[in-house]
Amino acid sequence: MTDSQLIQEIKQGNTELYSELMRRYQRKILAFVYHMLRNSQMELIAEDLCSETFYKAFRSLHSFREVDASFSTWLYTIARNTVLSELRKNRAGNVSLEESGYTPVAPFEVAPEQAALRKERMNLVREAINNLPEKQRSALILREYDQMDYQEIAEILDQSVSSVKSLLFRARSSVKLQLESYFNEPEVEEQVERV
Amino acid sequence: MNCREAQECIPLLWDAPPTHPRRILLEQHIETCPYCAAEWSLWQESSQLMHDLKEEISEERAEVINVKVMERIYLESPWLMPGDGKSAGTSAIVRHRLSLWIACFLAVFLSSVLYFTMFRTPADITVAQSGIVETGVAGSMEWTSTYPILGSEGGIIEPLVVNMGPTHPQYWMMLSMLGVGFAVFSLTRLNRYRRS
Repeated sequence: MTDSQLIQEIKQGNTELYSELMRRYQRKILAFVYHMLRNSQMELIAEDLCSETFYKAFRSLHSFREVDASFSTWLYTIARNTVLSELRKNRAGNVSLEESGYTPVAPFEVAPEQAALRKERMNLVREAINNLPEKQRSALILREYDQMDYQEIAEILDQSVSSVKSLLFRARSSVKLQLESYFNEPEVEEQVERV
Repeated sequence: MNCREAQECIPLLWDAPPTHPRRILLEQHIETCPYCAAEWSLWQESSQLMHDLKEEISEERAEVINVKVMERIYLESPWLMPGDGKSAGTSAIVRHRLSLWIACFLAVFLSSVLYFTMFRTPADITVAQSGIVETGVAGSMEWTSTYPILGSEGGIIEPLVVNMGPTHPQYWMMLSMLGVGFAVFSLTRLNRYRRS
């Protein structure tokens, strides 16, 4: 059953099918909410916000028209708005990564010094992403983590495709600029000198 | 492609398809230029680090959200609950009977309204039965009241009593409205008990 068939059925009163529709997107939306939130101390809020997103979507399902957007992009728009409104509420409670105790899990066993370096870099990446203006951050997360195309991102952010490209360009440049000092700059300089 | 063009192109063509003509040119330049190659590897590394931060959500955790949302929907809109909700055998009969009661009460109400508006009882009978006192017309000397004025002898004045019985349409209007109210209340209570 496709999304639109499911939506039609739900609109006709088969509410239990909404559970099936949610199952198709719940992991993606929860991951998106996680990435949009600024730190891991908001982990529980991420789950609540994800529930809130799906609940709002259900309540507004009667107004959803597939002509305007796909269900996926519509859902992401609701998720983004829900997160932004929560972030606005919690603007004062922005906790740093060290305070939050965020520890990225290493995918495989590595030497302690390598693990420490990796952790430091990942914290830095996270911070670099969090420092981006909201639209750039949303665009980057949707592109890098959710593998969306420019058109879909444009629909979610309510921007043109060229604006999205520009947002991504600025976001990537900014992240790279913030990370640059942590990469092997001496090697780069040596190479430049040799040229 | 020279170095300046390549530096400008890297963020733009970073995730362009490998068949993109400008990306092919960029990759050709990178092969020959160590400075741009280093820049390209910086991009690769930062992108890799971003991907390492990706949150992987387990199916179990996502399912918790699913259950939460469905519970909330059913809690806030119990009539949407599937299964034995609306079509429960016994409650369907009760619903049917209550609906009949409501229909009957509404019919009584409508009849009494019609009677009240079309067949008004004569004024003297109304005064006698309901206790409504006639009012005087300002400037007219011919007004006489039928209400017994007791004078000011200092005695206790009799209270006005509305003597309304089943012969009055208002009585049936009120009674039928009470009946409708009670039936609607019972229906709502039944719905709540069924969900809980």
